[in-house]
Amino acid sequence: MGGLLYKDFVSIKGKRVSITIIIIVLLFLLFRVIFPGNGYNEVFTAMTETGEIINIVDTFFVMSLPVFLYTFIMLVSLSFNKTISYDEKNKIRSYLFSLPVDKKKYVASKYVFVGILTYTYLSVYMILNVISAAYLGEIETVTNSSNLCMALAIPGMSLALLMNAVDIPVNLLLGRAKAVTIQTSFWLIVGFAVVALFLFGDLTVLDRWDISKLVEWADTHAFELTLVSIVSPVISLLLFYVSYRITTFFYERKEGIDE
Amino acid sequence: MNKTELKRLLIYLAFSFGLAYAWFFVTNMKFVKWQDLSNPMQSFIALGMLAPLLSHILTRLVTKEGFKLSGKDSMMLGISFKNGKWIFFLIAILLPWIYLELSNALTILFFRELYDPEYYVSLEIDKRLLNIFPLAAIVSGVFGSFAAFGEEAGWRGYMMPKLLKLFGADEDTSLSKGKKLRATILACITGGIIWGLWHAPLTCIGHNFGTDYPGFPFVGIARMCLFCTLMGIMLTFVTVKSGSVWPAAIMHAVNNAGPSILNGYINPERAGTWITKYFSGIWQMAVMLILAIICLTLLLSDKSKIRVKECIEN
Repeated sequence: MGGLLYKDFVSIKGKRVSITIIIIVLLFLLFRVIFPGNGYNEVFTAMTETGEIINIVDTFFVMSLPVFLYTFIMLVSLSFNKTISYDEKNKIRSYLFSLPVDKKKYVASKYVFVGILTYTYLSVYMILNVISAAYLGEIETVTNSSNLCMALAIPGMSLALLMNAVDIPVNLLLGRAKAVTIQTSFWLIVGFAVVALFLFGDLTVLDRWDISKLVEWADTHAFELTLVSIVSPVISLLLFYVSYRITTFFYERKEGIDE
Repeated sequence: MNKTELKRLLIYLAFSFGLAYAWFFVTNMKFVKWQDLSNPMQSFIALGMLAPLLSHILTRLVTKEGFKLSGKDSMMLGISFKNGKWIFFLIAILLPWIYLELSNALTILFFRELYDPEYYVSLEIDKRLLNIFPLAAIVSGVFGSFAAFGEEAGWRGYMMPKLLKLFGADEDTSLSKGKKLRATILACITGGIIWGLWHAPLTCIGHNFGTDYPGFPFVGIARMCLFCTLMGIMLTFVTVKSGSVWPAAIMHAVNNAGPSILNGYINPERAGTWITKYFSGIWQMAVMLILAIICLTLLLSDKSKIRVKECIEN
């Protein structure tokens, strides 16, 4: 198993990715220390619609966090797809299955690899969150936004697990080419739905959309958010395991190798 | 005594203490008391918990020991649920909850003046939230265990195997049962003292025990060493039995999250006498002592040795 995981690590250029992430975290830390924000720095301030004075530097750091979360969720999926492409391109499976490596172990290695990636990115996201929050002032809107970003960490990464619980079987059972077609079709449908919304939908919904109301809602619904944080990883892990069992069942019975 | 192993251990300790102390100093140059720091700032300082992991990696680079992930003389990062090893992951998740709840129940029983049915209200905690708090602590402990993993990858993943080897308590040394028990206890006590001293900069600013106690901060440092020794025995137990540092990381993270409902009913400000004020924490130590003795006994049982050998061979 260790060897299979190392192969996947090499296929995503793991060393380069690790060094890049370490550099990003260090730069984030460095910039946060140089631009400490509200509690320490009274320049770069702006007034909100409600008359609250907030620091733009704080807002910039807090608002960058959802971008990181989204990027990390996507990176988990992209990395997995890259390992599959690497395996198919280099005919890894034909080679592996001629050795005493069974199909179950190969499937398990993919699930474990995605699990490790998810945990690693979740940890990096939490570190960035801690660094960002360390120098925040006591402005309620910004603090609540920062808390919301932290609260989204575990549900966000549960989403990454769920996405891969579908992605892994599709790639392994149908092959990379068909998987790409399905993924493209899915995102095209999403794209068309958005276009349809703009053409025929009620756009006043977007007009009413207010991020500060979401932050306020999160602040007053701590119990519900905590419940989501508890339930979402448990459910996604359970579904991830069910997905593994289903994939193993069909993959062991599958004839031929998609290479 | 194996000089090479001792040298490696000293290099690791130099890195670990140097990096962590530097981080604690740089992030809190004015030595602001822990209670006066904001919660996010406390979390920021606590990132120093990653220093042992970094030290482990740096030591292996310097000593050229290699980066084997699992098996003998490895970083112990592998995970296996085979041969009943899953039970140690379950123990790691549930044990902190059990001993914290038990020690809090004993504290309420023997120091009744501390019981305050409305205390959680003053902490601004929703009652529904208090009731599911242990579950939230466990989930966040398991998924957000990176900081605890940072410590355990160093202490249990590098220091304890070296100490057990130095004192002759590892699997390769053939000592009588009594001598092995003595060697294991000595290794755990030494490890606990080192670990406790590593926390000294935080204890000096009031982390864990505050600043308002007689003999501050030396009594706090000694108490931390005792706590780390007892906790260290339990963590070493789950690490050796599972052959991985992950259960220890999970247990440490869950412990730090403090999964206890009864905590919301113990008001330390209600302590009327000095005995209640300074000795109400004794029940936690008592419960931990009993658990540490159980863990030591299980660690040295013959059945356990066979299992450890099986793990290494597998």
